[in-house]
Amino acid sequence: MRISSSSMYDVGIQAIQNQQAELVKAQQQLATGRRVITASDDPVAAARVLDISQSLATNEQYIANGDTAKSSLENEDSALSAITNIIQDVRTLAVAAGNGSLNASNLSKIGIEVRQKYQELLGVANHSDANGRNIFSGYLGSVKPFTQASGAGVYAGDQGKIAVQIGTGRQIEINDTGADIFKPGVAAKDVFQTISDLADALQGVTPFTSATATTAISQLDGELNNVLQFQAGVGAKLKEIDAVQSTASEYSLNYKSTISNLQDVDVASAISELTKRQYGLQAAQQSYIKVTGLSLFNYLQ
Amino acid sequence: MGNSVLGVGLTGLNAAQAGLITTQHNISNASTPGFHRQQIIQGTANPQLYGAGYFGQGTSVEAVKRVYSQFLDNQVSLSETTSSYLDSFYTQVKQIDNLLADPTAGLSPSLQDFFNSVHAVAADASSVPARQGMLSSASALVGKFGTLSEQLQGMRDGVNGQIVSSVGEINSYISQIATLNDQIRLAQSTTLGAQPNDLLDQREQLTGELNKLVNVSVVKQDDGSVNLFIGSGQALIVGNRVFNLTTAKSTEDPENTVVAYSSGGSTAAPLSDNSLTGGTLGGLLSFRNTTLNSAFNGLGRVAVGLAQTFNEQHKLGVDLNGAQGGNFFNLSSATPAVISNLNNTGGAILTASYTPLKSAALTTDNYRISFDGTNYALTNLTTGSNVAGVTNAATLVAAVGNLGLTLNVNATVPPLSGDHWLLLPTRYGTSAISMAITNTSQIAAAAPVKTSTTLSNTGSGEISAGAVDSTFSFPLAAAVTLTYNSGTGKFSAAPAQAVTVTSGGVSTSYASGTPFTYVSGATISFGGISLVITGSPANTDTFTVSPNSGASFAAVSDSRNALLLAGLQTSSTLANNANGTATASYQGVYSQLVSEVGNKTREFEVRSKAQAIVVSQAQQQQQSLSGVNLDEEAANLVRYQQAYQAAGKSMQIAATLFATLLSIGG
Repeated sequence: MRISSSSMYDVGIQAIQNQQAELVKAQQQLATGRRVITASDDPVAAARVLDISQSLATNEQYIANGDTAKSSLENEDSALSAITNIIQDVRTLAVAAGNGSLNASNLSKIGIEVRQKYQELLGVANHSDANGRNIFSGYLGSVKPFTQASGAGVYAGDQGKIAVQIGTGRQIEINDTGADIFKPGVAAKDVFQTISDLADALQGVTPFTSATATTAISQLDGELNNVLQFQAGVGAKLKEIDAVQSTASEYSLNYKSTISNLQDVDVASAISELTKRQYGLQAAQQSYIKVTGLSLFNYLQ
Repeated sequence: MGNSVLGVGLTGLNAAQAGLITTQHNISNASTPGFHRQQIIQGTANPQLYGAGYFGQGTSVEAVKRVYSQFLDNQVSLSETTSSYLDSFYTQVKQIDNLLADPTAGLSPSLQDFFNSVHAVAADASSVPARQGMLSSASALVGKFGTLSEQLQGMRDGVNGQIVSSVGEINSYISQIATLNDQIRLAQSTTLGAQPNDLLDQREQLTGELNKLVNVSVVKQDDGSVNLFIGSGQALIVGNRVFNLTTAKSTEDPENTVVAYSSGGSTAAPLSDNSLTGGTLGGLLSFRNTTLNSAFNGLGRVAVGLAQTFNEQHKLGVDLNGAQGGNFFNLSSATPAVISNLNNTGGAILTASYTPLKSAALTTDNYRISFDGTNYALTNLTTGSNVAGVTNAATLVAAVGNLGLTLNVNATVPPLSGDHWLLLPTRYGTSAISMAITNTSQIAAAAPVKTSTTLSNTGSGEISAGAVDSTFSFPLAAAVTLTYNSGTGKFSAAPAQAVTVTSGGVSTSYASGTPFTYVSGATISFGGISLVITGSPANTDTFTVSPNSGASFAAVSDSRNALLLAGLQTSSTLANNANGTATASYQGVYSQLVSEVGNKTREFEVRSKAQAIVVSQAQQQQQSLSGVNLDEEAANLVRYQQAYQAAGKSMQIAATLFATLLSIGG
């Protein structure tokens, strides 16, 4: 076949350009570490990467939400432990006061201690977290839930339960309300009332009998039980969050590895491709020089 | 006869000289675009009869012809038209491809950041930094929509600009071809059939270049000139008349520049985009009408869908001031758009707005509304087919309603036959979205009602937090108390409510004031509020649903609505299927767009590469016949040089013969 001289140049240049394009692509893949650099490189993979990235981002957010929830629940757990201790202390005092061997002055001393515990309980009930949210006031995070100085609890919060999304379709409540824990105003269940009544009796405001101590002890046992139930609930939730987070971390790993499989370059094959293209380009360049150097004019003197 | 010896030698000398000149011409033009190698056609001169017989009178050059095959040249031209079309489309679509899929520049990261920030508010609604984060990332998202919109708009402007410059080039080629037509016509008429090879080469080169811009049909005439036709048969050159193309703003879509044609004095009429195929111009028009529209509309749908669904949920919430949530995002009145054709003669005014809660019905197509004097028609411009059942204004409004839009037809001044409107449901969505709120306290993270269990209840009944839907009328006027009667196993509501109880998918409605049966875990709904009571309530146990709004609002840590807002990220809110069920999330419809553009880019990349090979092969075949081979020309140089030398030698011998004669005489 007849070949025109300009075709020889064109074909040579074309070959070099093709090799260069492939070389640059291999180089770009290695430099970015990605096989799919734009969607057109693999449209199906690119769209899936976007979808899975969202799943990954959402999942990571759930893990972060889990941390937030844990922090709130741990905070509540400490407060509940403190409440448990206070109730147990008061119960110990009530037992001591009820053994019948103490005179009025001694009872009054215990009374002072019990009243102290009342203030301590009030403090814990008004506990707020690092962000200033009162943990026992429900939705009314900026409102101090209990402000009374003595007597029954007067609850200023509401019964709002704050939920946090810790997984797809799983929301977990991160608070319990002062209404549920302290039962303010509910006869025989209000911790404040019980402690206040005991202090009043010990200090002689109301008559103190052995029945006073017995009633106080029995009520405190009920109230302690109530608090312990909430504490158990908090423990269960913390455990669940750990489990959910650990599953979520596995999901994250899976998502990351899927994304990587979809869009990342196989380094070994990319390097081999790069080397191949490098040789290809060299061959194209050398053959171009050789072929275009041939001319009959070289021999015409 | 001695005279003739010298004469025959001379013809050889002349022919060799002609051969040398042609060879040199070929060598000089070896790399001239469009050049076809030339050859001299040599023949024997007429012999003369001298007694013994016919004696040859040497040689003559009968013609200089170019080595040309119309078939091969046409192959090159056709393949190049297609190649420029593909390249032009590919260059454009590649830009969108780069824009959308980039992990930092695309929409996805902004969308994810935004919803992460909503989650942060849901986790701690009272946190001002979290609320500020949500506002900032929402602004960033809105900004991203704006940037993408500007970039796409920049591409539309770029396409318009390129159409104008392409038309300029086309006109320049047309006038050059017309000039060459004149020269060729003149040359052929004066030289009786001799071909002006180089002029023909130049003209073919120009028609080839013209075909790279747009498909033009070339019709050869007997006088050597060519006529050119474009589009659906509009003449660019006929005989010695030249018609130039112009550009104009589209009367249908004023954002688009279209090619217009005027035949002798009449006003320029736009040429349909579809009639201009092939070449760079064809590629630009095709890109603008397909992928560019898809990208605008696809992104617009994400923006409109997000704004609408997010706003709907946000309005069901309560902000930090105790007020009902307002719009979180604004959509300017630029979207949806109904553009009245500039040539409309009637006076009907069509406007459209989004139908609340129907974002999922939005499509990414554009539509044309037309009026034929009696009936309206609604045409989907992507598929080209008419929407069924559209006749009068009412059916038109209904059909547009199915697209998620409310159309308002004001025909006080009636429309006239031939009037058109362009309906763009989502094109301007990306540029229309903006922030509606600026203050962190305006984020409606709380729900408008809350529930409580009376502490003195003796049973174990518990009430859920309660939620509201779009039928809830803000605010709840007064607290509703639900009191249980263990004798009847029913609750009664005070003040009285029309209650629906849904259990196991079965709903039972109770008239207002009628006590309703208690089923543990059943959903109890009234007035747009729904809640669930579980456990075993005791007789006279009460539960309360109270307003969570107003001046005394203090539920700063209530994040129930923020949680629902965050949930929108993964819910299917857009892209209805045939059954009217939303099938995709915001991210889902965005991924669809990325995939669509990616596939289109891929398709054009592959086709463009394949076509480049077709062009290269066609060129090689054409060059194989018509191209200059320098080695061949070198050989020809030697051949004609030697022929020249031989002819010279023969003339020298003739001279010697003459000298011999003279010497005899002396």
